[in-house]
This record gives sequence, C-alpha cells and structure tokens, in this order.
Amino acid sequence: MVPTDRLYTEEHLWLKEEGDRLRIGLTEYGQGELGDVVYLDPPAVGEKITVKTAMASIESTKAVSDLLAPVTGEVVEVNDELQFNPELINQDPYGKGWIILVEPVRSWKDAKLLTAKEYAGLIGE
Amino acid sequence: MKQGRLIPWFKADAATQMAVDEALFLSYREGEALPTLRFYGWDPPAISIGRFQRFTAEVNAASCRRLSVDLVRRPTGGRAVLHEAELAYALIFGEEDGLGRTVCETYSRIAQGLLAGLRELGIAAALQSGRVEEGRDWLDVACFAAVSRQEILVNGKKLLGSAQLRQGGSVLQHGSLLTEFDPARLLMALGRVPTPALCAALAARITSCRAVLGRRVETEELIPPLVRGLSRVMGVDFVPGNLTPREWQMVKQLRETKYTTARWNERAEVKTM
Repeated sequence: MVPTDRLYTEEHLWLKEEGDRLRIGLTEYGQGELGDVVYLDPPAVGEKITVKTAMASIESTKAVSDLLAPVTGEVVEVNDELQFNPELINQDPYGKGWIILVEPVRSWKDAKLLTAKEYAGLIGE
Repeated sequence: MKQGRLIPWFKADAATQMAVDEALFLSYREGEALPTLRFYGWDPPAISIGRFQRFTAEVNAASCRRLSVDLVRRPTGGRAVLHEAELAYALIFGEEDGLGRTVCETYSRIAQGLLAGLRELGIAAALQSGRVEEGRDWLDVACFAAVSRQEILVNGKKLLGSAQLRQGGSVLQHGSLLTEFDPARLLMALGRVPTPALCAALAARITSCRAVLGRRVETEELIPPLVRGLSRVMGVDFVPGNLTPREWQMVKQLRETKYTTARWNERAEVKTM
C-alpha cells in the first residue's frame, strides 16, 4: 500500500510535509528495486540540494546508485541512525528508514511530484 | 541486432583500469557511446576495495607495497578483491539495453550471459540467487570470501564476483573471474599470516577456472565464449573498437585527479560495512 499522506517522485522517493519542511525517504517499491542496503552516503546538514541532481549515494547488493534530489532546498537534518543501521531503509522505508529532512525553496511544489494515486499507478499497484 | 563495442583486452595498472571503466561509463551516460564490453588485466597485480569500504580497516598498505601489489578504490560497491590470476570484465549499458532495470534484474541477466560462456568452456557454474546471510568474520572483508546474491559459484564456491555503479539509467558492471587461486597470496596481500587453517577456510569458499577444469586456462580462451554469452542475452552484436580520443583524455584526467590520489583511494571518512 502506498501511504496517502505524502507525495512521490518517479525515482521512488517519498516526501512528507511537516510544517514548512519535507521529510524524504525511499519508497517500499524503491527499496525493493535496490535490494539489501549496506551503506548510505547522505548529504551533510546545511548542504544545499538541487532538484534532479545527486544528493546521496546508496550501496546495495554491491551496486552504488545515486539518489536524485526531489526538490531544491537545504538539508536541516540527516537520519544518523542509517549510518549504523542502513537496513532500516529496507525494513521500515516509510518510517524509521527516512533519509533527510529538508527546508525546501518556496517554489518546491513546481517540481514534478506525484500523488499517492499517481505513484501507485506508476508502480502498478 | 543492436550494435555494441568490444574493447580489445589490455593490461595496465589499477588506476588506469578504473579510470578506463569510469571514462567509458561517463561517455555512455552522456550519450556519446554504444553499450561497451571489455576484458582486461592488471599490471602490476592490485587489490581493489569497494566505494565505501574503510581503507585502513580493510587493507594493509605495507603488505601490498612489500608484495608489489597496487591499491585502488573502485567506483562500484562490494569488498576487497585481489586482481592477479584473473580475467576482469566491464560492461557499460543502459536500462533500455535489454538487461532489466533493477539492480537484481541486471545482475541476474548478465550472469545468464556469463554462465552461458562458462558452460561453453566446460565450467558448470550456477547463480547464487537466494538471500545469503553474510558472516561477520574478517574473511568476509575479501570479496571472494563473502558470497552474496547474484554471484557465480561452482559447487558452492565463488568463481566470479561483480559490482555495479548506476547513475541516471546508465550502469557500469565490472567483475573478476578467477583463473587461478592462491589463498596464501590473498592472505599476505591483506596483511594476514597465511596459516594452514586460514588457507583452508578460504579454499573452502573460493575456486578458480584452473581448479574446476584441472588445467591452466588462458585469457584468449576465456574471452570469446563470454562475449558470445553476453551478446546473446543482451541482443547486442559487440564489434571490436577502441576508446575514442575524448575517452582517452577522460582516462588521463581521471587517473591523475582521482584513481592515483590518496584523497580518493584512502578516504577515511567512510565507515566499514
């Protein structure tokens, strides 16, 4: 089931509005496509991220993949727990496996984001 | 049949070979190259470590120097590999090249091609497709001692291991097919004392073409069947071709600014897996 309380990208990230900030993580489908996550190289707190450019690298099943930023903004918090337990991305992608909290630019809603229904359609659910 | 490029086999040092793999990947990603396959060797021998492995914890630079073994960090994931008696390969392709989209799909499809090539050579290998709980003992630092999903085994022993780099729909998969295996040499390169017990432990997990076939196998014998296997599974006709002048320029730059630098090879901020 795709949670209806957040938005999604075609690259299988979710974004949840928390006041004027966005919590970001990988979807259930996205983590399944990657396989077992063994390492996450996240952006630093204070780092500016730019929509559609690499914001983090993730290693799973001996593959290193880029995660593309879903919006432009500034990273205000990083899930440090993932440094010790990266498998949380597989085990609880919509909860404890969140990746970063971002303060987006005002125009962040201009980015091409999908509703839960649209995302469910994309992944054939 | 779609056309691809097959780069002729050559030997070079570790920094050059990693720079070539990355340059071919960047060239493909920028839309300037066909899907590309190459096989290559390492001169001098080298230990490569995975993109996020911690340098000081995983390798012993002094042991490598003593044995005249190079050290390099790969752009791909996975663990430490000793490149000596082996055939390395690199395949650069895109999500639209018939190998599937996900990490596991692409490993699996490429493995089918490699397995077909190995069968032609008389090696009855199989794909490790189930989930494997990796142990936590130090032997797992060495890539070949740790069997994970999508790896190629003979009688439960690892023969070929691979790793990937993926960016924006483009994929570099490279890997190592062991032609011979000397556990003592691997242990020494990793800075360990090659006790009979440790040698036996590694020999129980790792095999080689020579061990399987009972004879020495030359590079020239291995490459054509592997090309045929990969060509069939991808539906790509790999035509011999060289790197372009621009790609060689990228190789030179990547070699000098990345793969020969301590900043890249020894970066200490990453944690162990």
